[in-house]
Amino acid sequence: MAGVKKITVFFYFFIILLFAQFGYGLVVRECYPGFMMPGFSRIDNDGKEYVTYDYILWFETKQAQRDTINLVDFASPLSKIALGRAIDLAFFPTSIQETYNGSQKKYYSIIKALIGEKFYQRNIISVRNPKMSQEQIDEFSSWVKARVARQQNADVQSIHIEKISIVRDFVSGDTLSTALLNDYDF
Amino acid sequence: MIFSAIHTIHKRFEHWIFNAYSTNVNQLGLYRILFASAIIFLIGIPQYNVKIAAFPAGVFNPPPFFSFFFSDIPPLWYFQWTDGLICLGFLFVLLGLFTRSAGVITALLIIINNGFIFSTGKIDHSFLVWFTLFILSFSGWGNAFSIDSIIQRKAHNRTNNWIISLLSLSIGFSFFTAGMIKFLSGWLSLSDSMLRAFYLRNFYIQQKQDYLAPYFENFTFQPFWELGDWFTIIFEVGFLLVVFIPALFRFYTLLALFFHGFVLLMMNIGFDTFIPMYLLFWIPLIDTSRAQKTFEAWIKNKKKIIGIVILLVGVYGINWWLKDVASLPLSDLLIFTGLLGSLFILFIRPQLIFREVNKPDEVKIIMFDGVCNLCNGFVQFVIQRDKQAIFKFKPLQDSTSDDTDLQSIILVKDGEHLNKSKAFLEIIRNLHGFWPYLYLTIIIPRPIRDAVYVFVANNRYKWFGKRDTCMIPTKELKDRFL
Repeated sequence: MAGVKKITVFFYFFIILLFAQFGYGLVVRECYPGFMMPGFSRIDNDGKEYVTYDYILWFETKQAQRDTINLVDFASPLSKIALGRAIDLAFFPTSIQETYNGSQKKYYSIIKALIGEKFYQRNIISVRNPKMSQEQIDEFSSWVKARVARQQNADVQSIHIEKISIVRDFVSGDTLSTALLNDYDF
Repeated sequence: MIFSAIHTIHKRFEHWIFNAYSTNVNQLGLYRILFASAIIFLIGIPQYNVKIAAFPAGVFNPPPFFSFFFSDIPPLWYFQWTDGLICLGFLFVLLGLFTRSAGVITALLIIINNGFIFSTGKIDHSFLVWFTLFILSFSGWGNAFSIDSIIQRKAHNRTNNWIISLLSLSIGFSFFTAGMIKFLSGWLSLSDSMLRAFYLRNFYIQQKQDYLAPYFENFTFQPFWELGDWFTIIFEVGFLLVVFIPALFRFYTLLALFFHGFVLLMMNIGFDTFIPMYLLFWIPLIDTSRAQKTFEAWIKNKKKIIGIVILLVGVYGINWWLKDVASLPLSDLLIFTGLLGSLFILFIRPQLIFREVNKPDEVKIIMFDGVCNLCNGFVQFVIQRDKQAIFKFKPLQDSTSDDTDLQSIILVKDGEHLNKSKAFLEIIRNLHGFWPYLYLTIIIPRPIRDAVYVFVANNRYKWFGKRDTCMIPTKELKDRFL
């Protein structure tokens, strides 16, 4: 009987834990691995056009040859999503916050109003949008360069990464326009 | 009043925890073998040293969980060693050797290592399956069809069924979080289609263009995509609601299999790790008595034991060849099998979904108003669709009790007397054909269901007529009547 009571109490605590984790994940950052499923939130669109973001990686060899690289192949066996996130963290840290979908921003302004700017920046934004140290950025840059050199079998002189936004037609999928959001050289 | 209501809810919750998902030790033992086999042979044991070696250590952005306690990714040798231990752990779980310790250690190593992988930015949905491995280790799944059970030489028939309730709650909640995020971000808006937007992003940006993906590129029928948005949210959020009704939870696992199959075909995203997890909720329907007899015969015969070891090595060899030499996408095949299986059960054998787990073949008695045309018609309807003849019938007029209520059909099962909509749904779930789908209405609160039942019952003589005497069964059906 005591066992039954303990297990029942455990279930109540477990439910509280599940909701607490969900609340924390929504406000600050998903606790992975955890009971919150990574799910699609939103891609802003109006049913006619939609916007997505992509990266173009240019490399230049010591012989002054310039070319782009397919990032899906480049990232394998990891995914392009992981690579994109690493690129954002290293080279375009502000874009993570900027591209966060518009419809949830209102919740953040409510939270900010409730807990104050200082607390909000320290305990929510800095956890949600972590920053890489310069040492980490250098390490990642060297890794990218070395990987391009190995995959392309070339002496790589420099790398140029562009983050672009692409507006596509919702029906045909045709690209309507592209815009350069940011770029980085190393 | 409030305290009484809280007490009632608490008691029902407690009953759900310990009784909703019943299995026995043999079913759990069989499940352990199927679970470990699916991971080892079809999905693949996680190999972190390969993944982690592909990414620079600098990209370490720990999510707030286990890896939060580490300042950097451990060296490669750590992943090589833990990969070895994880492999060994799965083998132990499969064979049922030190089952509990092997399961717990393996699950923890995987969860911690997943934290490191996720810190590089790629997140998957596999946590639930490793959580399944962790908590099922405490369920008693090592007490049958295992080396442990041979060594112990003592029957351990106790199972912790509350663990399955805990898992169902975890699965339901996880899907709920995915659905709520979509709901909060406006997926139900009729002016746009998120499913199409994500499909197009996957197609063009992530270059996921295999299987049926190219066919959807120019498929612009807006209601299809809008329906997809709504189905996704209703399915994901609804998963939490059905946790408390096991038959409906089983139905949802089929919807999930259909959903995962479709997502793989259209968006090339594989949810392969979920499939062995869903299997747990179907295991109680399997009769393991023959498997138990076979196992007992095997363990007494040394030649057969050697034969099993050779068979296992052979299966592993074939599996290695299929995966590494023939490059067959076995995990995708698992998802497609799940999709086909779900379609088969949904459209050909729906009675399996709603079948009772506890004593499904036990005879149940339907007591009905013998002079009511509607009730007699219903009895004939049940007889035609009750292929296993689990129901017997008795007119309420034959009851010896003075306070017999003729206004409701009564179902006597397991010593319990059920009436009104509850009795009707409990009968209907056991029939053949598509009728068991009516059991889905169990989700409607009972007072509303009963009100509809009472309304029909009160008007049954007026609408359908009445006989002067009770029906007399034919010769063939005589033994079905009490």
